[in-house]
Amino acid sequence: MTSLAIKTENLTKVYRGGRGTKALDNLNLEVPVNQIYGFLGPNAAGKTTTIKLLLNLIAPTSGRAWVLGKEVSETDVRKDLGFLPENPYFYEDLSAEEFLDFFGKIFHIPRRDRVNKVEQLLTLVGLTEERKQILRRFSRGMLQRIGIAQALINDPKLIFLDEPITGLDPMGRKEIRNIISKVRAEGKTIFFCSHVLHDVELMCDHIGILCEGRLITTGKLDELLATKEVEISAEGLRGEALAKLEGRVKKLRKEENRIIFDVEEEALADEVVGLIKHYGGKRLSIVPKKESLEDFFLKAIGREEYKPDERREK
Amino acid sequence: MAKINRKKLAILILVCLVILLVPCSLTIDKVRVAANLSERGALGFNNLMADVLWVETIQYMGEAKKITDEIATTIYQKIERITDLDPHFIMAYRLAGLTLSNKRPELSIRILSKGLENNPGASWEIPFYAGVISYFRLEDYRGAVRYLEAATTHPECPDFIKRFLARATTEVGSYKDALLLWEGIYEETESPTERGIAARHLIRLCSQIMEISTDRNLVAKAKAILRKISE
Amino acid sequence: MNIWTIGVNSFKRLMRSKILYVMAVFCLITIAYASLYGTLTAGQEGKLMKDVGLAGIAAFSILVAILVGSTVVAKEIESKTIQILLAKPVKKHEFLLGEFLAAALTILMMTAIMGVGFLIIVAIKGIATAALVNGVVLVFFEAILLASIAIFFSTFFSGMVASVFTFIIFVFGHLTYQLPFLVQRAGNVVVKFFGNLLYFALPNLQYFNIRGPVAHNLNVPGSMIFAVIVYGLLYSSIMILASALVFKSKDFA
Repeated sequence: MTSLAIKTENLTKVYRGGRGTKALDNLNLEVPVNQIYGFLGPNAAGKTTTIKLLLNLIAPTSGRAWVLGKEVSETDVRKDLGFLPENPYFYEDLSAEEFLDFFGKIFHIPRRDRVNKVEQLLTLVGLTEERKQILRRFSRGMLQRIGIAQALINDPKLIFLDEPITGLDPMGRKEIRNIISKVRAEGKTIFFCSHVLHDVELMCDHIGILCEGRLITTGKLDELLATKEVEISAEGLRGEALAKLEGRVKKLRKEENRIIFDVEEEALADEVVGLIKHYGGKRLSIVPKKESLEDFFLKAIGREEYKPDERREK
Repeated sequence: MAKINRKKLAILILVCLVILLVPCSLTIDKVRVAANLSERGALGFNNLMADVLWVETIQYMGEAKKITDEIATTIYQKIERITDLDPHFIMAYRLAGLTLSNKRPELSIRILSKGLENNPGASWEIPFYAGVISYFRLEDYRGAVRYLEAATTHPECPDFIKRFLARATTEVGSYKDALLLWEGIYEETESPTERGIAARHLIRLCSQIMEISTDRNLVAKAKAILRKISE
Repeated sequence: MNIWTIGVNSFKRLMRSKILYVMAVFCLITIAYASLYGTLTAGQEGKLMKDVGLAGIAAFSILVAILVGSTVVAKEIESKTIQILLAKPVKKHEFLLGEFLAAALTILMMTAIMGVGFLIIVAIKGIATAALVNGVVLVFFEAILLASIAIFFSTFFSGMVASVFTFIIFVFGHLTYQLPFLVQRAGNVVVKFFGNLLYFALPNLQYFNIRGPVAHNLNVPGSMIFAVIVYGLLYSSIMILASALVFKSKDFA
């Protein structure tokens, strides 16, 4: 179990006054260490609820959860955790430096180390210039960065980031992504909640997809998205040949004077290529096909179209 | 397991503290009664309210050139309210006692005895004024003696009251005594308003003496007092 | 340790809100204004200044207590900063005690500023007495008590609602002295029981008001002042302990 950063067993949460709907329904999750784990799902899927349960901010209705091998209710375990909440609001009367220093004190970091740590974190998130500025004057992106710095003050082994990228401009997103990859390079485990699939695809090793409180699928991103399909394009084929080939491939479509074949399995690809040659056609390319995370996600949650801001009916 | 026990312990401590609150509360109640720290409303701002009314009343009295029956009654009601809010407001009783003595001596006595009741032994002026008013205005000599005796028990009571008390027990009042008493008030008081009231009484008294008295010494005294006041 | 860190941090942030200083300045202006009353008060400006000064300190201290008490915890819940803090190795009761400490420090600061200012003005007029300090000290403890009640309410209500409820308790707390009298008159046993229950359950805030006797230089027994301070601390402890129990099983969603 020590090689698992997070483990949950039938973790369930029903909010009081929530008309009995399960915000989280028998979640069984295993997150290995030293990974960036992307936790996906539409809004109100239970992602934030999961994080709060793992941080003991809310009590589970039933089930158990462990982080870093210890039960989540143990206060001590949070010495090794970091947390950036969604839409963070911070002590706006404090300066960036004071803000980080305060959390350093919470972890009982001795004064000298604290000063160094704050300096190091401000450098990491690129806020050394704004150290004396009061947080009220910070932009969203800056707040998000100081929020990450705050989550790192104790050199955590496991970091929870709830929608760290949502609502930022492309520049801001890139900055946050860079910071996250730097942190990851230090060998920390990152549990990352998002509904921005593009960023997840760029960063995560593992993903889990949550929908309406239930974990639909989880696994390594590469493995989940890998398919055996191959895409072959060719030209110079006539009607008779096409009729023959159509029976062998999964899908066939015409693009100007090219023909594109989707082939179900790699083994079949050779045969198709042979047939193309046989009918006097010219093979242009063979590409192994990879599913996009978006397609995979939509298939997983059983929707035609993905709208991140769609709210579940209550 | 340890967690449940901690919660139980917390509830136990809570219950103990709540139980402790009762004897603590009762002790304070007892001490407060013993120390005559009476309860007043106004959400703890009774004194402030009394002050506001006081300033209002002073202004009202200043604007009234002559104290009529009606004005006297109004002043009485205002002072009642003030002393309900602040029962230790000695000056309010004193001033009301003097102001009302001419028109409504019975109200004057009522407010002064309220002051005496709420502040036993706190001031010699209150019983002294009550004594003087009983003696001269209401001609209640027994009552006067009782009040004056109360005044003389106060350590700061001036001697002229003691001398007056000695005679008041044997004979009925005269101009001489009245002059002596109002002069005493005029000299003793530190309050300009009281001083003004005493001065007015003295002026009227002196002019009466100069008109009708045959006692040369008394007339000379009255003249001297008038001179002193006009300075 | 964490309690102190959290308390000082919240105190520091509270001290940066200018509204508190504005209130203290208003209070001092009120006291100074009272000294202008001299000509109007038939030689009673000494008493008047003491009354107005003590009442001003009481009013502003209580206002600060209700304001700070009802926001110090509620604001962290509403703005969700509490989630960041509790995601760290901080226990819920440490957070609560820290915030109470911050409220207490703030009230101490404000009452002290106003109290010292008042004593200076009174000393200049030559009418200062040691008893005035006692009056101010009890105002401080009344404010602490109200802050603890505000914190208790803010563990289940929003800051706004908590402040309204605390104000209601403040009003009733100054009226409980009428209860024994009313209970005596009530024939019904049930009414009597609940009357007595209410008398001991509600804070008797009139205990803390020795401002009248103090302004009149009357003797207030030291034993009573001590007992009232014990009462205040006892009541505040109950409120904070009860808040901690509520907090323990509270979800911070």
